[in-house]
Parts: sequence; C-alpha cells; structure tokens
Amino acid sequence: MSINFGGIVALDGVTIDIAPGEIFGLIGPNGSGKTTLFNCLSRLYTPNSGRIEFKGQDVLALAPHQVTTLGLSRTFQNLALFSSMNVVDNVLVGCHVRSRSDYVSAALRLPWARREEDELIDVAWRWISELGLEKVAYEAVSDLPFGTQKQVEMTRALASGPDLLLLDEPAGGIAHDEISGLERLIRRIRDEHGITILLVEHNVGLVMRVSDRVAVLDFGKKIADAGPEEVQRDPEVIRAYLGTE
Amino acid sequence: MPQSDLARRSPPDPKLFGLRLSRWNRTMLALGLLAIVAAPHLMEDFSVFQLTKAAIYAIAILGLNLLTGFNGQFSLGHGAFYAVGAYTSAILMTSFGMHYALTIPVAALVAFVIGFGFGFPALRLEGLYLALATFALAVAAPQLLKFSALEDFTGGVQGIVVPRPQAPAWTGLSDDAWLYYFTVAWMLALFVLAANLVNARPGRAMKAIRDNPIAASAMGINTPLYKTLTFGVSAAYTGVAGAISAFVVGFVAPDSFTFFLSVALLVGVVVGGIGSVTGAIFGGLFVLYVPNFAEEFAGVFSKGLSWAAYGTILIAIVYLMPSGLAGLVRWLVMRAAQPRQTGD
Ligand SMILES: Nc1ncnc2c1ncn2[C@@H]1O[C@H](COP(=O)(O)OP(=O)(O)O)[C@@H](O)[C@H]1O
Ligand SMILES: [Mg+2]
Repeated sequence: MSINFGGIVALDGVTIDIAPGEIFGLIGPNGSGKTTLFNCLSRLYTPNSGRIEFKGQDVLALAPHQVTTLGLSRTFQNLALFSSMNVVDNVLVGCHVRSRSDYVSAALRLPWARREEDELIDVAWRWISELGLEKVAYEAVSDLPFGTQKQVEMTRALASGPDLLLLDEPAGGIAHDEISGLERLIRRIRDEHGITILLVEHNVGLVMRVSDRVAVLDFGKKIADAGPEEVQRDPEVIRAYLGTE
Repeated sequence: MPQSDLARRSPPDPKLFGLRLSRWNRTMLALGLLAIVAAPHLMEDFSVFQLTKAAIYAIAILGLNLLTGFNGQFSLGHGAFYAVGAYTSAILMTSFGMHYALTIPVAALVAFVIGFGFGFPALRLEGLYLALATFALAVAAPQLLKFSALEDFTGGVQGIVVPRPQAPAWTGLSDDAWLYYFTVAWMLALFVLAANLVNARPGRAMKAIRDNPIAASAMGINTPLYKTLTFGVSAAYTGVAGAISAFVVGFVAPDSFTFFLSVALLVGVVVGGIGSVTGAIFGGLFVLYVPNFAEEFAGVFSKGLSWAAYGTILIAIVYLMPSGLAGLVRWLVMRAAQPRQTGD
C-alpha cells in the first residue's frame, strides 16, 4: 500500500499481514506513517495504490462507516471524542453499529427499540467497568484528563464489538506506573474477548512485551517485520529508531 | 444484575432544596401542563390567540434546533419550510376542501421531502457556506410564492384566505381556545417525540456528527444519511408549524414568510438554548412576546427605537446566558443542588 500527500510519500509500498488473534505492534519514528496507515485502514484516507483486505472483503470498496460495521474499530492518536457528551453517551455511540433502532422507532419508543436500548446500556457498562471508568461515567468527557480520555476512546471502540482493534498510542498521557495496567488490559482484550489488535505505540518496552509480531516503519517504508526479539536485534531498526531512544 | 450495579448505573440525581432533581422535574412538568391547560380560562381570546402563535413558533424552533442544535447544521432558511407547510395546508383546505387536521401530516410529508432533498447539497457545505445556501432559500421563497405561473394555487401576491376552523360544539370552547388546545396538543406530542429521539440511538448519532464528524463515521455512523434525514425531520417539524399557522392566522401570503421569519426562528433557538428540547418553548415565547415588549418599552422614549430595544435585550440575553434560557435554568439548578448522597 502506498500513499502520498503532495510531495511527501507517507507510505511507500508497505505490506502488513495481521493474523486473527494476534497482537501486532507497529513502531517507528514520528512522521514515519503509522497514523497514516491507520487512516487508510479505517478509510479516512484512500491510498494511491494498493489493496486492503479484511475478513476476505475489499475494504477500499467500502465507505468509512461500513468498515466499522465489518468489525474494525479504532482510537485516535490526538483524541476524537464527542466532547459535549458524557462518557456513557460516548460509549453508547460506540454501540451504534451493533444496533438498528431508527428515527421512527426511537421517537415512538417502540418496545423492541427500548429493549435494544437496554441491551446497549448493558454492553456499554460492561466495557466501562472493564476499563474502570465507572466513577467518571456521567462526567463530560471534555472535563477529563488526557489519559482518561484515551481510555474513553478505547472503551468506545471496544463497545462496537470489533474483531480488529486499532490502537494509536494508547499510552499517551498516562502515568508511568499505569503502563503495566494498560499492558494487562491489552492482553485481556485479546485473550478474553478474542479481539485482534494492531498497536501503534512509542513505548517500545510495552510494544515488545505484548506483541506477537512487530513491524517497523521508517520514512514510510517497512524496514522490519518479525517477532519482538528479532526486531530488537535488527541493526537497521536500531539505526533508524531504537538507537535514537 | 446486583443492586449496587443498578445504583452505579443510574445518572446522578442530586438534591435541590431537599428534593431530588428527578422529583423537581416531574413537579415542574405537572405544573407546566396545568398552566398550559388552564391558560385559556384565564385570558381574553386575543391573548389565547397570541399564546397559540407562541406554541406554533415553539414547534418551528424545535425543528430548527434538531438540525442546528443537535446536528450542527446551520439554517438561515427555515422560514421557507414554514412557508411550505403553510401553503400546503392552505391550498389543501381551499382548493381541495380537505379538513384542516388532515392537512398537517401532508404538510409534514411535503416539508420532509423538500428538506431531505435540500440535505444533499447541504452535505457539501460546512458552517458559513451552509448558512449562505439556506439564506438563499429564505430570500427565494417569497418570490417563488408570488410567481405568476403558480398563481392559481398560491394566490400570487394576494395570498390565500383560509377559513378559520370552528370549535366542535361538544367542547363548549371558543374558536380561539379550541385552536389553542389543538395546537398545544400537537406541540406536546412533537416535543415528546423529539425528546425520545435525541436521547436514543439516532439522537446520539446526530450529536456525535455535530461534535466530531470524523469520529462519528469511524464509529460506523452513516453521516450523510443522518444529516439528510435530520434535515428532513427538521423541515417536517417546521412545516407542521407553518401548516397550523395557516388556519390559526386564517391567511397566508408571500410576505408573511420573509427572511425575517427565518432569523426569528434562529433567534428562538439561541435564546431558548441550543440543543435543548424544552428551550424551544422559551424560544417560542420570546419570539412572539419580546418584540411587542420591546416596542412598549421603547415607546416610553421614542416609537422609532423598538428594534434597538429588541437588539439590546437580545445582546443582554446572549451575553448573560450563553446557553440560552434552558441553559440558565440548568446552571442555576446545578449551583443550588447538593452533591448526590448514596442510599435512600
Ligand atoms: N492529511 C495529511 N496531509 C498532508 N500530509 C500528511 C497528512 N497526514 C499525514 N501526513 C504526513 O505523512 C507523514 C506521516 O505522518 P503520520 O502517519 O502521522 O506519522 P506517525 O503517525 O508515524 O507519526 C508525515 O510526514 C505527515 O506530515
Ligand atoms: Mg501518529
């Protein structure tokens, strides 16, 4: 897959292959194209060339909202919450694709729509508890610290019931001693809920500990793609990224 | 689910002067309904007629609020949808002899279709550009209504005189009181529907699009569909208001639906509270009564200054209550409320 913006080649023939049930780490220096890759996968950007396949479907043939329906959900590096709404409502928006009540059934509060709403509230609260956000559930998200907002984003993405979860720098804004909690959470999401994860993160230690495979991007090119130990020993990776740490 | 889970899941319900907020809400609602029912018995017919018009404006303002307040799409042209509703009702009554009550769903449907259609070009326009496009709609509407080729239906510049409905004998009401109850019943029903809508899945999608369209579509919301549908629903609400106004006022003419009407509706949205359902009632009352009040107030000094007085009141409100009257009430309640105590 390749994409360029004007003169900048943000992704240059990058191929990744994520197996179901895998935690796939993606690292690389700032500006190497990690977020751009996310944006292509979630159909916010259209690559200039290449192909994206998810569960045997051609993702590039879908509109952005249909990708989520197919079971692919994401968080944003720089937060994209619904800022006037509280945590519960943000998470309930995450449940949008798993429900179908429309203007008429919602306005008339038809029995099936009310039942569905109750089910959504159940799902939302299960994820809110899982991420430990009960205490702030009714707070406006804009009043929460950055790290908590990142947690809300993750909860919202999980509430959509994804098969593949894209996490863009989930450790951003959280304190050092909370990293291990995040690590356990990422493992739990995969192990207990069977969700495949594509993890972009600058905390290399975290990525190396949780990932089954790690790919490294540098200036839009993939320079490594292997198990975490092997990647850490790769001289090219050390030169481009790890060595600069 | 265990009891503690349920308690945790229910939204905070703080106390205000020793009473839970939810109780206050129910009490205020009951008192409000009582006032609405009692009003015609306490006033002269002309005042009842005025109050009916305020209720009509409230419906139109709620329609615009669904679009602007809840979905973030600006419209400076809702007067056009009001006109569509009014003319649909007037033409059906006078040219086709339809019963006035039956013209309302038809007017809603016509306005919905036109609003939904307008929603498509609106998808390509953001913020100010959408405001401009809808402005064009507002200024074009009166001229289209005067257009000679349509004169047989629209009555051209003269407009249409619509027979005012009479109160059914069994009610024992004056015609004005009957129309008041008729209008208020529609208003209450439409408010309940809107309140249900905005607190459920489609309403959350509308608000999500307003807050962050990219994240909304990343969460699987079909944003073009929701924006066009919301445009249609909004136009339908405003069309219903127009339809009721046709036979309540008893007259429709192109110059009743100028750009000024569109602006007045937007003023109602802002004053009542952007993104507040109940705020639309305050908005309706404001749009109807405050210009008169400003005129009387300014009349003490000089008749020519009534709009200056209106402007001053408006600036004061926007300045003092940035979230409208509904926002002010909410703010006062939150200030006065004690934090939630667990138990009881
Ligand atoms: N919408 C865009 N328009 C122009 N350039 C962009 C856009 N998105 C990303 N880029 C460029 O693409 C490159 C990769 O950026 P990004 O994917 O955000 O990097 P990373 O997430 O790895 O830090 C950068 O040079 C960035 O400036
Ligand atoms: Mg990035």
